[in-house]
Amino acid sequence: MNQRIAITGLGIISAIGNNRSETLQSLLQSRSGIGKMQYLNSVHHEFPVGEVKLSDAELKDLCQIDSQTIIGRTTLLGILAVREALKEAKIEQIEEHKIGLISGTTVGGMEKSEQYYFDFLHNDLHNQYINIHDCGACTEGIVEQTGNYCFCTTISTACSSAANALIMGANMLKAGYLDMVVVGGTECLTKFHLNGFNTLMILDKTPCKPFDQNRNGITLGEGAGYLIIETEEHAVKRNIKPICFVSGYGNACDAYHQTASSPDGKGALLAMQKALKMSGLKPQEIDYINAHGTGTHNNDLSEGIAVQQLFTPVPPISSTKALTGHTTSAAGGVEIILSILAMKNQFLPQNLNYQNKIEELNFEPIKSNMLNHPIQHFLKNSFGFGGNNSSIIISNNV
Amino acid sequence: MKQHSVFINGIGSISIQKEGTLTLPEWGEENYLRCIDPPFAQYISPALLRRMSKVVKRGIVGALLALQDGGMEIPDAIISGTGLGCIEDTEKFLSAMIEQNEQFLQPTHFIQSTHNTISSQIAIMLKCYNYNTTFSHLGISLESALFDGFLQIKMGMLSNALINGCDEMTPDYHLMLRKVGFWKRSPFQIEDMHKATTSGTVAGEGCNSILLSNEKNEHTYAEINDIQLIHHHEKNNIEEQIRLFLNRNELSLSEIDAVMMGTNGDIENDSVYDKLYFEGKDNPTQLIYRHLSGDYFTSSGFGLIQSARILKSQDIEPLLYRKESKKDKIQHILFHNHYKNSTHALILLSVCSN
Repeated sequence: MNQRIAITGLGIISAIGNNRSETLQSLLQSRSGIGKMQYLNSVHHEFPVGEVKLSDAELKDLCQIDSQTIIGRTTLLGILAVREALKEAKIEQIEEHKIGLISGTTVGGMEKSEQYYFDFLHNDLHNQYINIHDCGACTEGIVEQTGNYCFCTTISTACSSAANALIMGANMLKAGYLDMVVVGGTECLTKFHLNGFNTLMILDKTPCKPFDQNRNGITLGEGAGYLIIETEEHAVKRNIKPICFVSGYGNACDAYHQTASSPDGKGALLAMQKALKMSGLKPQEIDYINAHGTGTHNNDLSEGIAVQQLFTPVPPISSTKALTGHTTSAAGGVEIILSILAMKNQFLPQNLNYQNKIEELNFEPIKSNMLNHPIQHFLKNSFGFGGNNSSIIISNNV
Repeated sequence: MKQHSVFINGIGSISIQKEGTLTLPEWGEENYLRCIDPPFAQYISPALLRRMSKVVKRGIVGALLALQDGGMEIPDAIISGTGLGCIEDTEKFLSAMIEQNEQFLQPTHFIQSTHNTISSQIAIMLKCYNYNTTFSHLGISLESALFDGFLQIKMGMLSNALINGCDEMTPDYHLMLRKVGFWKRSPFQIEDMHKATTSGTVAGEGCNSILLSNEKNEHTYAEINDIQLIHHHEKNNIEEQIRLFLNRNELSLSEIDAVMMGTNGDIENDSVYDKLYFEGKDNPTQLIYRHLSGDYFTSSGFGLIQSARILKSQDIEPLLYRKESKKDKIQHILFHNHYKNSTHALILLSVCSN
């Protein structure tokens, strides 16, 4: 029995495109989606953001949802990406399969709560938004619009939520609890996040510069990225050719600080080691690393130290967050999909806005798109607040 | 694949009940009770305590109690379930942000606001670098965490896992949930748990921690044979799903000694259980707990802990009975919880004879 975990569908929406093909074009042209705030209603216009270029009304329209429906932006982004993934995997009647949905999110319906919070407490004008505040309600909203799954749950480990959803989904397939799982994450921009990161003084007033000596913090983004995973055996039975495979994954905890990464990158190193061990691959077999690379002083140094402890020399590595912004809970899903699109089109995506090497590190990230560059295996890092670090290894189907 | 057995080897609970007792609380006018907290300073250093919110303190102490009870220091995994996460810190940051028009905000409440703060603070406290994750899915947050740990132990990926279910009920969130009809408007009476006639339930909060292990030892309370979380829709029948779940464990409902149900006094919620267990021909003993714990997104953890205790002690506290059928021995308990009839959690627990 072939237990390899196959990826058979991808769905993505972010600042660089509303679907797979728009995303691929932006990626090929290194066209960043970061710019001046248009949709988020915050006073902090000094910070650039990576917004999905659609209003809530336009998103509802795209989702074919009635304009009066009570639904949050995070859920709308999720619906679009999940639908695109299901379509690519040729899944039409969800209830005909043992299919689950595991979604990662942290802000949930916060973008409505932050508008109406005082109304919730002092009057009855917007009570209809109370029930969509939490993370689980956001996932249930996606389920309501995309089909009769037999299982659904929500993971909330901050910026590694989507990656951890993939890990849980893969385990459920291996144990035979499900035949297929939709895994990934979704998160919209909120004043809550923007102000929160601002209090930590880790937001850059210019578009973020991951792995640059003069990096100055995060640029927040928004989006959703979902993958359909199933065992290879099940894909073959359905006559579906896998796009690629999940060959390894690891989850470890940095156990250092609630918001800062350890100086030696312990949690990051452990997560990468676990993923490599499961995949049976040697470090030199990894052709590309899509880094967590947020652009903060702390993350990029800590991650870089962990990477160079494990890889000698360090393989081509880039952070794609200067294109999309940091899509937080969705980042694991969005960036695995960006990397898969690059892999299928045989190029390595550049680390935009990079100029100077970080003094303490011995490697530089990819300076411009490397075309005609086949990837057989890549590693994706996804780290979150609380030291929730996860790494995933994806292998091409050639 | 070799399948490992999964045992409950330790429990820790912080609830509206005084430690070590089980009494019917005075629910009062508001139908809202808050935790009776343990002396946190006995477990956490004062420097750390000052910066921690209540839900994080409870999460940590609940975890420490379960580890101590199970004779374990560092678990292979820390997996949390929380419906609302650190809602008190979230509210504080949110209020300040709105009142101060996004200016002059302090980071502390934001730092502690993310849902994974509890799991992460336990890891930092224990210096535990292992698997660590957090589920937040309404009324099955805890069951999702339990299922993740169960699955990985069964597959041999973990030897043990600390499962932690934690939620706080702040006055503001209580008020918001009242507006959307969560709580009973009239004073709660015990009869509501036997035959609900009105909508709404009673509000509580708490932390319930469970140490799972693949090893049976002197600490063991019970074995978890199987878990299934079911998303309910018009095309899957729950009664049929329960039958299939028991069948795959070579059991039928008539062989189940007791069902631990998520009855909460809300007419709509309780009718789901009544249809399945009361009106049916098989008539197992029915056990209930939410009148003793209050309802909150992870209150099922309180019921799970009662189930584990019953299987170990073979003694059922009379307050837990909804309907009693005479049994010589409690061999199997079916734990059944649903959230708004949209997601159901089935957990089969069995006695562990040595």
